[in-house]
Amino acid sequence: MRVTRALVFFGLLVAGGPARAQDSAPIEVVVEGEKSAPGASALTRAEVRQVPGAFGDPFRAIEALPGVTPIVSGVPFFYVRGAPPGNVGYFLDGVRVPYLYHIGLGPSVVHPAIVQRVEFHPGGYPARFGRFAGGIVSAEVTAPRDDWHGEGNVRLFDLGGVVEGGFADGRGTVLLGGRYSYTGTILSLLVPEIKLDYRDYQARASYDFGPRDRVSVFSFGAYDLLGEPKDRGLDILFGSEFYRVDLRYDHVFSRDSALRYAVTLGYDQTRLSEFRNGHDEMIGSRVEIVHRASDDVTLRGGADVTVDAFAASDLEHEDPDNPELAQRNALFPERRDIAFGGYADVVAKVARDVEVTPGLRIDLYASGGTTALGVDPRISAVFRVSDDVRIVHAYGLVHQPPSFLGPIPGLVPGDLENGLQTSLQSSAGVEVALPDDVSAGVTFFHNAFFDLTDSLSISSLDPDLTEDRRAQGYAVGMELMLKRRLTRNLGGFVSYTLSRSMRSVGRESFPSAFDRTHVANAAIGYDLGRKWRAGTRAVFYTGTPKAYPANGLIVPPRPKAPERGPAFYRVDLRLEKRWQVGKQGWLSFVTEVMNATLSKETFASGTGEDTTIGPVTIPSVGVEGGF
Amino acid sequence: MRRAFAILASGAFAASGCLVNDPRPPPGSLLVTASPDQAIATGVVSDDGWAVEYPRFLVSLGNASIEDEDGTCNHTYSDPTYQRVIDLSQGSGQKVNLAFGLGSCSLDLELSSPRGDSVLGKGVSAEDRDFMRTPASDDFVSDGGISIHVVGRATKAGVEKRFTWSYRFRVDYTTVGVSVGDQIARGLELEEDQRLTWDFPIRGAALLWDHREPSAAALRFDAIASADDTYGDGNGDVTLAELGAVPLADIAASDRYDDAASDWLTLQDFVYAGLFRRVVDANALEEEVFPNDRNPH
Repeated sequence: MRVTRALVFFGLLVAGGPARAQDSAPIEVVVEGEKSAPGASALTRAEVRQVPGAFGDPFRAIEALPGVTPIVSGVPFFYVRGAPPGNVGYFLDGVRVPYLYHIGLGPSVVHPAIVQRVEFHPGGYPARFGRFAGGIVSAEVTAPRDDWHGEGNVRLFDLGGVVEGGFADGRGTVLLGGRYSYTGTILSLLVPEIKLDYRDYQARASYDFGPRDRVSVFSFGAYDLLGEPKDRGLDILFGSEFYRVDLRYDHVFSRDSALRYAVTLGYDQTRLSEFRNGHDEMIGSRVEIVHRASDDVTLRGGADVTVDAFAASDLEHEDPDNPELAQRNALFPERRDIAFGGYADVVAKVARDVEVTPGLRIDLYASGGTTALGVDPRISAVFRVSDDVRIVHAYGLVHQPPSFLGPIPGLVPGDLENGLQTSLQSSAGVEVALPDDVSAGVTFFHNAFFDLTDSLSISSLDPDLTEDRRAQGYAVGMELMLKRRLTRNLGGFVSYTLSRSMRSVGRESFPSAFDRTHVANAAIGYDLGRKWRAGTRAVFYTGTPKAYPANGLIVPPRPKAPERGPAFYRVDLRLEKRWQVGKQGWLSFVTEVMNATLSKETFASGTGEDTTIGPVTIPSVGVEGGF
Repeated sequence: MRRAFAILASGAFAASGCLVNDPRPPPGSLLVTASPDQAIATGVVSDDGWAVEYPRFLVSLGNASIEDEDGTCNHTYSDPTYQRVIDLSQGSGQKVNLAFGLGSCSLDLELSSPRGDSVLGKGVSAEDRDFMRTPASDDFVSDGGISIHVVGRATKAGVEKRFTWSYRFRVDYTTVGVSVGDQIARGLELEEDQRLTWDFPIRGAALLWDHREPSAAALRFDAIASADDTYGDGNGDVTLAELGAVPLADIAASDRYDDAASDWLTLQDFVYAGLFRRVVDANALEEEVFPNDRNPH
């Protein structure tokens, strides 16, 4: 039995599909036995390729899901059920990564060809996930394949590719992939005062020592740079990079039990200011076990420890009295953070049509001489009302150490003196399978937030982004999803979120800075025949609360129901022509436009003059191919 | 060690991927300080015989910014983006900011109400800072913070007048300079590792000027005192509102208060709109004045 066939991982049971999958890109990969956690949404790569405006990027497609509130059109950082971007956790094959997207409007930091599936957990997620007080985005890479195959693409702004094959009679595999942007070259012609550069790589090797044992190493990393070329050199406006090496040992005890042990090394770095780099050297270890005790009971458990050494390069040229510097140093002190935790849950079919998953996660945090304990009970339940109707409940308590504005490599606030961030997440919904492969769902959610380090949501227009101000709050709302797979001849989806996200600080109680009452996405894809496929997607959301700048003054509390900025909409387009090349090869010409309507986005302002940006429109013309 | 760790973590790709270290040569530094004039430091006797002193003279000054005028200055080193609230009655040479640059540069300076994180100088309390951050209105600014707050006392022939005035405008001084002998030096020549100091006088006497140009001005307090005695409530406290009751036409003569702007009608206009902005002896090529209100300007 191949290791792949019975490897249980990510809470998914993969129990069937051969490692030598003969899937060419347009065929949806569905792994037998795979199912999402209650309340989670799963996106397969084949489906994501058809989402207009996502540029074939599985992670970008997440913004179209219910519960996701964008900050700015096209920028792939978002609020999840009221939780800010800094509280959203990103995992790639179980490895925590600081971010999944290149700078600005860039693509994901891993080539889409190696992403088999992305799960989006807006709340109440399995105990396996922790240390984040918002949503979880968890990507799973494709299983190792020993048949030589590859995929590549050339677009206006970048090129990338992945190639993988086997050796030693299929016992070993090796994968290499990456992406390189030549935006620097193009921009130097169009906008010479800006230099934008990004690149990433992925490499994996695996070797099966027997039918039950596999050793593998998976390494990936990304680099981003935005600067202004000057005669004296490059002024770096933003620069960051991260790298990971994950050494793994997978063992299959039986068809029902499997273990993964892994050691992860990581290095994160971001340019702060004054050519100072804040960085994090990370080492972690984790073990995960899954055991199917019976047809009705599956046990899952694991433990992990991570040690992060945070530091910043020495300050050379800055006024030592600058309060911003003092606050920054206080927020990002040189230190060693340790997080140690364990989890366990049980997926139990307690009745013929009732499946319950109780779980518990406990994490112990230490940072700069301070410690904190997070005890996170979770429970979810699925009630099968009929073959076509399911009621899904998910509840969970989650904790997170202080976080920064968003996921930025190497910039994690230290000091647990003010405690952990906490969120009590709850949701309940109904999922209905309708005729003709159409599904629908409605979910109601309520998240209560305690002691959030949420500068983004509570700041006025002159935010003090480095201050550890804690906010309380809640988010309540309703999510709708109507979907037919985009891989069908005629497919599409409608997603809608109605929500309110509030914050309170001291005596003030006000809507979160990026609270949007209505967020809607609608997409449709149609097979035009002769391997032509066209799609379009509309995005609509209402405006954010008007901001009232303080300009340093002591000002009255903000209103609970402020005026709001105008709504925004955009339409994305996608057109693809595909050719079959030989038995397994394929070639595609893809043209895609995000914001074909050239819509401008207006931000609310308390100055009486709204700020309008854009139109931020991204055209993409490219060729993709694979074998 | 760090490099080794990065390379280990990233494979060969990291070696070229790591962010570059600082390639710039070491800059020179400019220490910006402020010192009181004689009126603040020891008190002064006006030309009309009043002994004037300032028990408190609070100024919120900062955001010193090294600028590149003609491409000869590397100003990418950090700018001290903060204000310091200083009480000039506490002494000379009080630090405002420390700025860095290299080459032929210029300097901008800002007089504005403090922010929550503004640094406190000697003798200045957090309560003082909060007071200056608390918006209030006068005849010129609605809901504005305070850039300059003075507490003064004047005596003459056994009569004492007190005045507590707050200035609620922000002044952006562009291309400032310091006096070197009879000359004004506005250009900065910053060499590697060089340490310069520019000290800006804070002129309490400016509030007593009877002319906007210091070379033509005499120090007078009679008209100010009359605002309380003749036009006000006579309680010994001279308020800005009482100055507003003194028509310039009543006190202007060929040698005093004769260079008012055309729309200035009262002594308050002359002092508030004309003299307060001259308190900081910035020798700026350009001055822009905005209300210290909530709107970013």
